[in-house]
Amino acid sequence: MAGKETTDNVSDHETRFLKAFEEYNDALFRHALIRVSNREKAIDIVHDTFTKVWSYLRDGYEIDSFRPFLYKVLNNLIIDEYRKRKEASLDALMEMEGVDEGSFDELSESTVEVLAATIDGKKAFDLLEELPDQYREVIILRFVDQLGPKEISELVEETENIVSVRIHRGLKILRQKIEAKDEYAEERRKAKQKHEKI
Amino acid sequence: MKRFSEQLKIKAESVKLRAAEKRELRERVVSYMEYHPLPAEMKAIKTPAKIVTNKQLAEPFTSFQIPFISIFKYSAFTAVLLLLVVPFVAEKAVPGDALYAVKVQFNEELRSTLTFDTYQKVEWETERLNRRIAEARLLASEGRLTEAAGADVAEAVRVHSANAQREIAELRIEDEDAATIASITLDSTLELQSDSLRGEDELALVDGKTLLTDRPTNLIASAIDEARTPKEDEALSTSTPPAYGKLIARVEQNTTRIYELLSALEGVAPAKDLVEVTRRAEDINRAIEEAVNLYTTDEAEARVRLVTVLQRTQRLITYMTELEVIKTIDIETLIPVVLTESEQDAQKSLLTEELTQKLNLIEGLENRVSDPEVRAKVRFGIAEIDNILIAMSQSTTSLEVFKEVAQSGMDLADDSLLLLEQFVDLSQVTKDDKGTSTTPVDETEEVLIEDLVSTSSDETVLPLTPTDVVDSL
Repeated sequence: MAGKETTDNVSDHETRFLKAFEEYNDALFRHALIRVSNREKAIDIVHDTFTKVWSYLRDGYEIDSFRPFLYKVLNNLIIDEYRKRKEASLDALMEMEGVDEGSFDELSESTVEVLAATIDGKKAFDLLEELPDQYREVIILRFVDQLGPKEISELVEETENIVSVRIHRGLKILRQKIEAKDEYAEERRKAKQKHEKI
Repeated sequence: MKRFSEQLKIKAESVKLRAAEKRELRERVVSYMEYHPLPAEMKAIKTPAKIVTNKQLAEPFTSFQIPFISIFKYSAFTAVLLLLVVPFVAEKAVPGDALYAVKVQFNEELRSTLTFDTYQKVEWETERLNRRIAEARLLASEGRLTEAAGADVAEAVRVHSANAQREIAELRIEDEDAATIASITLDSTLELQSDSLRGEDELALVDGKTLLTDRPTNLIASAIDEARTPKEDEALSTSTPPAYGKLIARVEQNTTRIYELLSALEGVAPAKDLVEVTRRAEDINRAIEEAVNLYTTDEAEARVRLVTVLQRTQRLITYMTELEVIKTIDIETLIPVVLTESEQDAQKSLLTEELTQKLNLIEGLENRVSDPEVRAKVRFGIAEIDNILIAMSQSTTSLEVFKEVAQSGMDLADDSLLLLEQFVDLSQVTKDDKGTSTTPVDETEEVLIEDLVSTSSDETVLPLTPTDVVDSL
């Protein structure tokens, strides 16, 4: 009877794991792709995420809820990936770590909403790549993966305040970028018109 | 905000794995899982969520477990329920119950089928017949025996007795003696049930709740009688009693059963009934002994006696097993007590004494009558009674004959007393009676009642005491 129970247990673990795979593979891939901007890399990262989680299960740990755990592993792998690349942008990001105090304005969720309302989502998405990863990470988690501030704070191992500030700042940067782009486009258009006139 | 996040989401959702990529990724993960299987010893999961939905099939073949153990468990449970519980519960069903069909068409048929011995088959058919009648009684006692139900029971009685007859006929080919014994058994059962049902009818009539209840039982009784009639002819045609050995074996079997039943009834049935039944059993034992003794001298007679003993044992068994029969019919009418010789002698002497006392009373009274005509008549009566008394004292014949003679003497004495009552001087009689003759007569009466308490005493007319005489005047 004991043997049967354990096999049941094992098959139960397997089914739960595969279920989680079916449920989250797309979301994880999306997140990874936006972060690393490389399709194959993103797939590899998702694969590694699942194999790591599987190994974790094999070690006898229990996973009550797969989603935050998967995101955590994925996030760590993405950071590893950045480290491997040793890109300048990362160094730049690291430098910015110290300024995360945040004003009252930046800490309020409602102001985030007000701010977000002023941004064109479609344009913003295309500009996500240009965002420093520190901001990109939380914005993706917040608006693409639809995680709550608390979940995000657990994931990135920062306080909720810091997460809120990052989201706020990220959105601000996005707006600036959109505005700059718009301005640039406007200028180009005007210049073109001028040129046409001449 | 909503717009932004929605737009962002819509845009983001355009980013997803292509089907091929997804398939490949899945294969990679699954193969990793296969190469790194979970250890057999796993910790219990806190929230075991059963997940079966797995829409995307990775392999062309999918395997699933057939839960043999639970299928077996449930089917075994169902089988037990159907084969053991239901028939067991059904045994108590009466016509009109949902499980009655199970009882009659499954339980009983199964038992018939499983009985291979022809003699046992006859017995079983008899038993079924008894059951049908017992059910009818139960229904009748609850006032549920409708005419239709009664007709059904009557039909069942016909079927079962016909079956029994058929089996007996079959048995006759193999074993003449066994067939005769079987038919004796069947016949005594039928007779008893018929008597009992008729007795019920009478009871019902007495109670006043006549027409409704007596009709179906009558129907059943007539069905039983119908079943009996052809048998009696048959019994006449094969009048030779069965072989001694087989008879005695059967009788032994029946007596054993009687004693078993008796020990089972001890403490359950009222003591009075037990005494009655024990007495019958003793009678039967005596009769068997007599028959055994007779066997050496007169085998044919011994067999005939054993046949009657067999009938008695059968009746006694039916009486003991069919509780309803006890309620409606007196044991004495079913199986009369057979008195031992000493008991017979005691009864004889009692009767003689009684008659002598009456004679003394008559003589005493006669002296007080002045009318010569009456005196002559009484004298003639006295002479007759004297003769009868002499005849009684010399009698060596059976108790029945003795009783008849005694009865005629009693009648004569009573007549004489009646005559004397009209002419005797009343005041003197009353005074005298109280002084002299009343006491001994009363004593006799008491003795008589004590001794005959368990006997039929149909013929025994209690002596007319002087007080009765006075009362009637």
